[in-house]
Amino acid sequence: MTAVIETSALTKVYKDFWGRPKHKALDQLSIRIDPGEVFGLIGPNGCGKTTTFKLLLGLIFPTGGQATVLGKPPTDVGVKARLGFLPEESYLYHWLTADETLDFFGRLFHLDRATRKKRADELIERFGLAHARKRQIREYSKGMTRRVGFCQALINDPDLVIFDEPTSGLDPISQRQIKDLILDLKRRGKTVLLSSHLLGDVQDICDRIAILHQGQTKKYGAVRDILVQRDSITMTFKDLSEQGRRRIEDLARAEGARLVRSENTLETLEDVFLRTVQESGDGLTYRPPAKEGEERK
Amino acid sequence: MTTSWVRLWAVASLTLKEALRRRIIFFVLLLFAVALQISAAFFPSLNMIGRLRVMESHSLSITGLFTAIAVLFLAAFSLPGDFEQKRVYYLASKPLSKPTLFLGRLLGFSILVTLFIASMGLITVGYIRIVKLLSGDAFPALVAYPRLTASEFEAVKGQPIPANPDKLFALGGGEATLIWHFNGLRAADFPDRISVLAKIQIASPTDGYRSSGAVRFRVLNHELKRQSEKILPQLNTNEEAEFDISRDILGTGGDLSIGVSCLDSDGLVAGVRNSVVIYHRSANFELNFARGLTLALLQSLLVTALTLMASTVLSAPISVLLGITLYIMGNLHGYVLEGARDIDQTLDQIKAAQGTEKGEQMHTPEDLPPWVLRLSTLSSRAVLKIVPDFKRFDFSLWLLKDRAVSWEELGEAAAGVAPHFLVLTLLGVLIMSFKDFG
Repeated sequence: MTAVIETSALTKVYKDFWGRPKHKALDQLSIRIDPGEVFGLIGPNGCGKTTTFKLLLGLIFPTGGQATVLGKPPTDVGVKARLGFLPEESYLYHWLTADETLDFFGRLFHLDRATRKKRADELIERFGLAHARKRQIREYSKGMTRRVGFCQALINDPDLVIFDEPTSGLDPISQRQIKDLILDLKRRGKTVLLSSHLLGDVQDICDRIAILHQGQTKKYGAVRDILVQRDSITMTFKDLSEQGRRRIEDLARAEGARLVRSENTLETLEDVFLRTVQESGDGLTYRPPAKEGEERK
Repeated sequence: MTTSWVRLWAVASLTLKEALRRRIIFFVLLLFAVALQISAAFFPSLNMIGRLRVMESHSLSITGLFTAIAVLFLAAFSLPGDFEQKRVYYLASKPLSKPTLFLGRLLGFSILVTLFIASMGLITVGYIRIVKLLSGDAFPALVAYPRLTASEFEAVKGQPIPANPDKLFALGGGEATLIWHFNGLRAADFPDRISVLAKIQIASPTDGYRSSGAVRFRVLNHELKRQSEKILPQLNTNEEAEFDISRDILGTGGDLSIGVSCLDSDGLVAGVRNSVVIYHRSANFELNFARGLTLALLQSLLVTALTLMASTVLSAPISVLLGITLYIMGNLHGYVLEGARDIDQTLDQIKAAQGTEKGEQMHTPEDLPPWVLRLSTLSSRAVLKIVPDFKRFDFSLWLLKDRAVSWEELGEAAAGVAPHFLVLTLLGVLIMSFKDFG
């Protein structure tokens, strides 16, 4: 199987005006991302995530090593026809409307007018921008601008989508929509590469991850393989009585196990928030994504 | 490098749309109209021809100034804006090559400048027409006389200048004459008075500083044996001498020859084929105005290309400064070249006179060491080799004298700009190809 993204000892050293090495932003990154995978790059600020994206998009040239995207060098213009990218910050053309922005980016993909219009309509509807599509982006909120950013990344129905901090600047409902969007893309066989500081989200949606620190790869592999603690087990029971719990604990102790924690399961704050907002009935609603073969209502 | 017209046009139309949305064009055009209208303040103290001239010169000055400002700022801030505001991340992640982004911007600004200048031209012509309509018959006719160059050029008892065989000279005081032949003329193509314009060089074989003298112009129709003569007792070298002759000398048509000779025995006259020209019947004023503004457009396109190219590597303010420098150098081209020539002449004379009593008394200008002056002229000449002379784009030299810009002159100006424009475009493409967008 051909990798969608493959890097080998990819290195980037930023230089000063005189060409002297100033900062090694990425050091010997070697990763492989297969078709249909959701891959996460995580790490603290300045660890080399964005530099990796820039290298994979051909925005900057590597100092060492190599990378292929969809089997070709990142600078290959043809590769970009099958790729969608959302940068960390959404600086779009403020004087254009959402419609004009999507039309402009669609033209860069050589999409004909009818296709541009159809895709733009679908995306604008999906990201809830229909009411503001004729307004200039300078009048948009940060979240709305971000949503236009998503639309432009998907205007060409790409095979590979790269999201740099996709949920940055979005409210919890929109964050959940983005997570569902990524899972939806995965269901449709698309490959997604993303970075995020929201580790819970990464854990929820990524198949594999790489943890970077100071440009170096510290961990790389399947999320489950990285997170699993082989000497510890979590069991979740429903409708277990207090007496039953004590008996299980005693049984475990008798088997030589040390009980670390025993408490009621907590819901995630995100679930509670979404339910609360939905129950308040103020129009802010979250709609779970449509299942395959099911029409979105 | 992959460039497609669809993508190129997408970037160009984005550039246009941005400029229109910012309303800069409308604002500047409104300002232009107001500034042009201010020329009416001078009307009470002027006669009708003066009014026309003040409108024309006012319009050309403001067109030049406003176009320069708009072009410099729009071109200088567009690409740095894309880089600094990280919009380039969106663009470069699409199937759009980096050079196409540069070329698209250049195309967009070129169209913008064209629209800009065309709009100012329309406003000007409309304004002049309205003033003419309100002023009645007293207002001068709106004319533009096309130039006609000689079919042949020869020197009778004169000879070519060794360094430049196209230039002929004739010594003064004798029968040596430079003759321009205008063949196959039709009387119907000329107004009642045929205008003649001469730009002759005057010098002396014995005095290096001589630059004026008495000159005789003789217009002859050999076939009809008709002639007319004009003597200018004190004509300066390269000064435009203009006089007119009756159309009767031409009869219904035929050949005319114009002879020029120096009346001073220690002087000489020199010239090339287009040193003496005659003018046809007026061409369409508006069409000529469009041709003249094309000259201004060529100049603006050059500045746009330089500013945009510079902005691929330099910050916007520095790119603006570079554009301004090109404007200044292009406009001072003639003066600097003349100054360099004078300094060279002085230095040569000092060198030749070294060791003599006269040589001891000679000084360089400002008493500067000769090597400083030599270095200065060398560097000036080197810079001027890469900067075109903007005088060829100055439409006022035609408009204010009711002369038409010929297609030939327009072609020459375009041919002069094309190599510079192409080199700047190529440089921009190369820089963008290897530029990190990080």
